[in-house]
Amino acid sequence: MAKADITMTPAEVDAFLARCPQMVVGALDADGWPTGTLARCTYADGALSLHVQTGDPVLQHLARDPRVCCTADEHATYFEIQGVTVLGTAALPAAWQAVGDGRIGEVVVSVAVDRIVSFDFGRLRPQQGD
Amino acid sequence: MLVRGAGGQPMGYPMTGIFRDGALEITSYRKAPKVKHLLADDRVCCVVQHPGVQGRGVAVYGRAVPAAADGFIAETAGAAASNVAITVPDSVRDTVRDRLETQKRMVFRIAIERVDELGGNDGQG
Repeated sequence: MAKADITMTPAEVDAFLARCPQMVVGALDADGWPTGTLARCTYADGALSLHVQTGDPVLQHLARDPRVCCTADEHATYFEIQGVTVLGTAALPAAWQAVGDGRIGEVVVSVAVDRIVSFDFGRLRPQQGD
Repeated sequence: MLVRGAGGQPMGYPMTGIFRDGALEITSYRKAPKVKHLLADDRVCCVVQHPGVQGRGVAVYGRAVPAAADGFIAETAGAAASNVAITVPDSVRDTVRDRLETQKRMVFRIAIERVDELGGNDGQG
């Protein structure tokens, strides 16, 4: 039996990311170990921005290696589970280390999107008559 | 769950799993890309979001090792399934158990090496 295609449409991915309040942000630390944090995010017209708290080590990691992975999911019930993973390249503002000037602030990281992976478990929901 | 994917790229997978005997356990199809990645590099970071506070959570670091499935099956069966973050329909749970018993799926046990708090910097001092 063919594996079910549970990929979301581009329009569904856009809508998901537009309503997504935060994402898990994945990067690699200096030893190559995968590391992650939580960041508020905004998405509009295909542009993803991460609002990372000053002092978060992930900023140093992304400054050294800009490869980034951003993941979010929703799961009110099993057949409502949806998720999107954005693979891309992070760009930090030039003076990101000075943001907040020693106080708490947010560094806005722009993500150039290379690839998007998505899934929607609603497409696995048994249909009436199955 | 964050792993090192193809070419070393960080790769993330939304997952549900269980916390059993001091370790995290997850399951996936043996043919899934995440399994290939974990078998190539066992280092993982699992970001667990606080259920009630946006921006708060923990990052759990550890190494993923293939494990026997019987403990996972017992923990997620019937009434014991309260250890799972989301209610999984019986039909799905039965399918997962079958795929584990027939070796189509496998279990990874993540021995926890470090836990970092996330989002604790709330400006309260």
